[in-house]
Amino acid sequence: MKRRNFIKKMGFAAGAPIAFQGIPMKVLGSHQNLQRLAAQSDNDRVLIILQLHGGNDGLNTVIPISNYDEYYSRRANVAIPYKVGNRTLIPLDSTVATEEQVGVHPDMHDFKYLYDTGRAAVFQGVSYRNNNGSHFRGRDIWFMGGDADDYFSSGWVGRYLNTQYAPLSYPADFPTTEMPDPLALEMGNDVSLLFHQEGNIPTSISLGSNPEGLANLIEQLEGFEDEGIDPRGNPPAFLNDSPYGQEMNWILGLEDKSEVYIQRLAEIYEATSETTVTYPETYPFNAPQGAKTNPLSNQLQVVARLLAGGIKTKVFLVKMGGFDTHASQVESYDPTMGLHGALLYHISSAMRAFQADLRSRGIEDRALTMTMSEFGRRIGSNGSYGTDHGTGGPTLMFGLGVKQGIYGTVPDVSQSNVGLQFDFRQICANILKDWLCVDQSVITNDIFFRNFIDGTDPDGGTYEPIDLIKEVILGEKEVVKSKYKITSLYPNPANNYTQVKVMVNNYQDVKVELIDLNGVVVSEFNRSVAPGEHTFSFMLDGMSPGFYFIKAKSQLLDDTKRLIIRK
Amino acid sequence: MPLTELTGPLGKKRAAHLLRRACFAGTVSEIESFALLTPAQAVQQLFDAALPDPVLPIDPLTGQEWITQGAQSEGFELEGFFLAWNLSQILGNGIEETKKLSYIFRERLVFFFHTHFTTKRSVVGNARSLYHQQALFRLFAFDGTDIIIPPEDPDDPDSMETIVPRNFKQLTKKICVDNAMLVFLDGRLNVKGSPNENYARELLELYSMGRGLEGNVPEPEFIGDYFYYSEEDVQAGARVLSGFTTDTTFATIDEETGLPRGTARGGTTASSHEEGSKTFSIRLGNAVVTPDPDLLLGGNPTEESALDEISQFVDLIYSQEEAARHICREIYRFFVYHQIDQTLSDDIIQEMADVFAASEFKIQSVLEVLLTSEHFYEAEAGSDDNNFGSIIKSPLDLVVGFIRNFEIPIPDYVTELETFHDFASGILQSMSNQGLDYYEPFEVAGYPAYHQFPIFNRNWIATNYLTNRYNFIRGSVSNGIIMEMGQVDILQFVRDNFSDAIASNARDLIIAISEYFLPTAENLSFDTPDVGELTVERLNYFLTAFLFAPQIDADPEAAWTFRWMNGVDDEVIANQLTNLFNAMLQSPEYQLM
Repeated sequence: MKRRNFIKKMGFAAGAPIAFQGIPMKVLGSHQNLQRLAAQSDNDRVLIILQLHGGNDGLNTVIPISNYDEYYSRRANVAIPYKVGNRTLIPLDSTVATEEQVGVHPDMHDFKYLYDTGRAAVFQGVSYRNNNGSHFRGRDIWFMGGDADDYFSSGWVGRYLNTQYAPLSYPADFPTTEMPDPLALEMGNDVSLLFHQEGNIPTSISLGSNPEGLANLIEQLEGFEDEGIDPRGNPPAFLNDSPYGQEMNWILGLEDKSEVYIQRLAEIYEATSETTVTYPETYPFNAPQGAKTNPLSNQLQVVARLLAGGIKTKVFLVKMGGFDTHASQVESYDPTMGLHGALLYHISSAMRAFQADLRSRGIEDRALTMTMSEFGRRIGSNGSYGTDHGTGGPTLMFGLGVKQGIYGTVPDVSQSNVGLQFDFRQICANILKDWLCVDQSVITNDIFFRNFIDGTDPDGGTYEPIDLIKEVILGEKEVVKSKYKITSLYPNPANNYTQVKVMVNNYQDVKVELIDLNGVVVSEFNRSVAPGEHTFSFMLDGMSPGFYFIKAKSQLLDDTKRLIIRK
Repeated sequence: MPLTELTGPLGKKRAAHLLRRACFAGTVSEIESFALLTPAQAVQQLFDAALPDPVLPIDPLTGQEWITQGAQSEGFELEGFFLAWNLSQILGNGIEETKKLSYIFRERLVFFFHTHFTTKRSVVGNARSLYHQQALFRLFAFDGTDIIIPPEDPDDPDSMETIVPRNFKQLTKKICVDNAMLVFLDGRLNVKGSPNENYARELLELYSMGRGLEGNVPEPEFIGDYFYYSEEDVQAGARVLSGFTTDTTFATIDEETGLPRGTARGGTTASSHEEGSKTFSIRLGNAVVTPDPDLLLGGNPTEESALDEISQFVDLIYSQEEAARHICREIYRFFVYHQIDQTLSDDIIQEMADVFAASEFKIQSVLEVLLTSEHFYEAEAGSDDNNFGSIIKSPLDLVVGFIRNFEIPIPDYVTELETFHDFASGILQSMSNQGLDYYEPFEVAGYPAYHQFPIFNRNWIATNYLTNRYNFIRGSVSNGIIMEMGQVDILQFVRDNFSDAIASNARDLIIAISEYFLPTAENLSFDTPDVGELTVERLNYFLTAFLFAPQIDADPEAAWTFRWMNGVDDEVIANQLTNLFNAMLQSPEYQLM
């Protein structure tokens, strides 16, 4: 099919980005400063937003340990056990202070692995002032990035993309040679408020699971015909401002972008190989049948494949539903299993596979994933093994660029709701600044209309910058070594004994070996250990003086130190 | 007065508009006959109170209805049969011609109620509950007259007939203890001492009071304040609603509706219902719902006292002016246009709300005023701010509208049940491909097109969905691709509906088709620019697709006339018509209603 530029004829009046309203586009386009601004945006990092639809129960996702007893008493029928039984919460990081200790759900092993290998972080108490108990308003507020009483018709990502590519405006000026791809992609078929811009079609394209089939179909349909006199149906000028004209332009805009972009996406998709990683398919424990299939695996596979094909799209939205757990959130006989456990398993296992997929394709440093859910749930459970709508909750973050950590403090569970520690826009703003390298003034003036990085908090005080992105993305080894290592070897040089102190951050079978210069294992310990520091004592009586090595190994631990024996 | 009545005959354009909005679409002959009526006459014909009841849904394994007796088919199959049966009603299948439009209009209102009091079949998991919920909607769809229950003993002069109000408020009370709703929003789990607020919250937020006009809601004044109600009201409401569970034997019959409903937990007393009075927040005037002492049994709540509390609570909600405005905004968005600003709200919506409240919340009263108003058609005279083609069709509107436009033959529900079921699954599959998984909206607020600010029905248009809409048209008018739901015999259709004088002239035919099936198509001309509601270029594009792509004749227009008048080479005629209809219907114009 032939390319066309009919959209210019139609004149999308409201497409101008906010910062440049009222200034003729032609002049802007040739203005050097502005061209530079557009060029600045040129990094290959992408943001993936994982929407947890329905209001995730944060307190069974990230479980407080320091006030566990109170947590338990507030929600005994759904509480995740601690130190009782064989499915108990997994302590996330024993290296943090006792009062900051948290655990994750027993079905989040893979999350724990991602955390330990420097690919995950937790933010507690993410919310906004006057958190709205409605699914719909709540989600709109997250998507539009406003206050509880704002009604923007654009989303924060839509505004980000508007500024990112200014002075070009979407859809009229796209695609370009530099940006041949959709600015944003939404997996599934929706058009979320997240990607909306003021008065025009959203900046995203929605994509089902089969880009090739869709492209073929578009190619065949008369409705996408673009040759001839007026194949499109631009309404006559006098109807342009009528409701009919507006709806017509909406459909025409999407029709055009669909055709152009789907072809391009199909090409990228076809040219890239399938994943070599096995993605998870089902939840292995008891849960309602409808919740057993992993809803993320397919979506994430498509994203990984497109990224590997060199797609330049900046923002992706993947979604899963089922979090509105008013009833039967857990199985009545085992609070660690059931609907919610399955959902958390799906997230953790699919994200681990996704990271592995990206790694095998050599692009793991490009993607950052954050979760969002319209609200957290009530601290106290209800009588139907469920939880009602609450306010604050945790945000999970994934990716090699994330600074591993537990951000914020353990929530006060004596209240009815989880209190606010981070406005969600603080997290988004810091990601825009440090991950997507957007100018702070642009974030403040054109995206969130408030300085969420270090400006004044209207509730009092100032926002603190959140240091959540690694300045240098370290290899996995360096990250693991910070929490799995030989912490000391003493005495060294040693005479008749030495003590090795080993730190681990998970339950592990640890092997500590004493090895001579020829590589022969002279002596060894095998021990199952809990997170924390452990001491291994080697008796050295009768051993020849000289150089030796102490080697500590486990699933994640691999550290060696030199030992000198003197007599 | 903003809602000025439109007088004089409708004419073709307005008749087609009214039939699209009220009955999914009109056939050529229906449009012609409505064109001669005034809006008042047309709307009166649509609200025909004397409609037949639907035949009950049938299980193909037994050949018997499965509502009052057992079925052999599995539960999930019954769900599919229910949806198919519902489509049979929507299509007016087997209904006599004089009642058909009214019957279909009632079904479109039933669909409106379903988008409002929504449900999901995967959650409810019971086809009979879905059926009975829909029967409740049908009972309340035409609410112009109240429900009259005949006296128990007609021969006893002291035995009186009972009059039960039939209106939206009454429906709201009934839906609170509806079996499907008790499951869908966990009402059956809401018990004394352990409230489950799910239903109470959505009752206030989605079903009655609403959250106000988007972008124009005043600031909250305290924690948990939503201005028109508050968290406290959700909690008090949950206490009022507590203590009910489902009765899936469907033996508990509501005396006023004659339909099955849920039942209070407990025996002679409603032992799981919260005792005592329930106090609401300042947003509801600090009102108190108090159990009627006459209905208590030894001081304990009974099913009657609990139902009475629900009735008091719903009365309390509807005593707030915002409730009528909220529901009228939904009516407006469903029938007129999705964009409502403060000016329109103060003007049109407020007037609708006033009519609504003055009629004790009768939907019919509001619709009678709205559908006969100038605003529904041209908006204000002389402005281009009209409401023709301002709604993007839902997949149901598109598919059912297409079947009605082209009078695709529908297998009989009783005598050709199996064929009908195949036909219906074809429709349901098409709708699902276009983004409407019928009776399975993704979220509890229902299909996003009916609630998702700011884009509402624009939600129906996404890449996949639009492609599948066009694909549906192609499958239904092309030669060679057989769809389960049947195809238009396009040649026969044109022969049956257009005179030779029109059909033999390619340009006149295009104009006639446009006028019946596209929402704005007045003053069309192939030559004079800037007068017609479709551009000269657009019409010529249709002509090109019709006769010039491929061009097999030296003078294609003359050749068309010759073939048509002499009845030669039907194959060429049918192919050319197929090309024409594909060009005209795989179009943004046909996506609008």
